[in-house]
Amino acid sequence: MWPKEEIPLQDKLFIRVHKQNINPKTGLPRPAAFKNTPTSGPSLSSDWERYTTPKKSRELLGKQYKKGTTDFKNPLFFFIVSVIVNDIYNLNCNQLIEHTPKYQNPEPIGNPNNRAHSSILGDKTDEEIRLKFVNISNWEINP
Amino acid sequence: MPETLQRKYLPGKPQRSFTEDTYSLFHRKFWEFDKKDYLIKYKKLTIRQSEDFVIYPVNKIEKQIRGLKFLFPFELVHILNEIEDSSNIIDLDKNWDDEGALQISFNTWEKATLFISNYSKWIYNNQNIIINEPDIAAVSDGSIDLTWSSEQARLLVNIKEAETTASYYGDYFTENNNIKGNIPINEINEFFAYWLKVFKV
Repeated sequence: MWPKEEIPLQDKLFIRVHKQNINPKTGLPRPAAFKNTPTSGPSLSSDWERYTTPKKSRELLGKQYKKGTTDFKNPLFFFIVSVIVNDIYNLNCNQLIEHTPKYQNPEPIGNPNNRAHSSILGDKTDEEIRLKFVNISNWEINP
Repeated sequence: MPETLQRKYLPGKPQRSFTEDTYSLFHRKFWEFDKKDYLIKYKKLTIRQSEDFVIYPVNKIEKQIRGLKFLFPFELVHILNEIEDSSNIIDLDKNWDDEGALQISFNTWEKATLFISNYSKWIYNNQNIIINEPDIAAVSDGSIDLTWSSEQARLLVNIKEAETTASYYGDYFTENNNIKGNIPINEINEFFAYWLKVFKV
């Protein structure tokens, strides 16, 4: 079990971006990449840089099941952007960031433990926040 | 091409000087005929010249995409191409993002293309401005995003299957002069159209 910690404002969070959510013309993530996952859920998953790297964050996807299946995700279908915590708060869009480490013993197949796991809580159906997320994100692993 | 238009605007001898008004009148008339379903496929109109009168050719392109018929002025062919490229989003399987994404229905795609088609043609027809094509993208909740962006401004429009309005947000990368709200998909909102002109080619 890992304790919840306070994430400093200057720290980065890594967010996965599915290949379908990349604009092929601009090479930027699409606003659709910043919906909550799953869409009906309360938050967008991310990984805190203190306990992972973009490469490890991507590799961990290969240990996760695709939603509703027992098939593993293909990490190569995902790319990684980073956002700085303070930049998210500066959007003034009612988002809250929490460190939410995932730990179970024994570790379930398809739902791996992850000390870096963090949640960007708040509604993201609004066009404004999704559009603004595009411009505060930076590629860590790009297509 | 209708005879009345030929007689009026393709004169055999000089009648008046070519002016911007003449040009826009020509376009306006032509568009009126469009509304009466005069569909012209890749047809070049004759260029007639005289001492001081020039009529420019007006090309139109018609294309069937997924059973829908699109008719665009040739100047907006980039919009038509984007619509065609986007049609593959209705082929995406359920769970296309591995996170439980919903399928994009044909109706949602049709509404999105109608929205783009209406606004791009209206702005071209009424303001003589050609706007850039948006990025057309599937969203995990089954809706479609239309994104325009330039160095000056950005705009996101979201089209949902169950709604007759589109929700949008746009700004100039500052907190001032932003726009946000809902507009009917099947009608032209002139204020919104005015804002879209920011994304002219």
